[in-house]
Amino acid sequence: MSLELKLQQASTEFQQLQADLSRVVEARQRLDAQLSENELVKKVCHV
Amino acid sequence: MPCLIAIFCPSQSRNFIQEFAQLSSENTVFKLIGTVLVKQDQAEAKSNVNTRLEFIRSEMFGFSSDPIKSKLTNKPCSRRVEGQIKDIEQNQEKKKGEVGFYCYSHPGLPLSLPFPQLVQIQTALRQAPPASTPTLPTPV
Repeated sequence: MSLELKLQQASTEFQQLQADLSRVVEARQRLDAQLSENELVKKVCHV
Repeated sequence: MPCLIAIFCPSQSRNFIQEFAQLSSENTVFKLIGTVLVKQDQAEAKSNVNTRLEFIRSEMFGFSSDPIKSKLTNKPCSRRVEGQIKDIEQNQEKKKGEVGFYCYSHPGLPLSLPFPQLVQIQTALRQAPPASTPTLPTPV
């Protein structure tokens, strides 16, 4: 395989990882928001 | 009898939280399932808050926040969000090294390239017609 192809493949894979990371970070932020929300409910309501 | 219609949605409003806090044993809680309002036990409604907290924490960290429970299951779980982030970051570092290696081995390219330039190179390589692209020697 030529060097260009290898570079292209590696950088495509890198970009795929970046996309994965941003997707997971988004999920993490959503969970974070839900966590603090439910903690607030718990705190205010003395559940 | 005063009642509270609790529609559990991803973002509960502050009003809902305050109403929920003021519930007395006189109140009846209903929850909305599809188009139907179902009477719900108030204790159950409140315990659901704890259940949800547990669920969210386990989704995030892969173990329970409960100190006793977490001792039993406090192991990194790659399926959970925190573990996934760590995994991807590690893979990214590896891949970055790989991309760097190919750039380094390419005689025509400067030794250290910031990432945006790599993308430009990649785009240029993709757009270049295969016939006009000379084959470079494979790295030793």
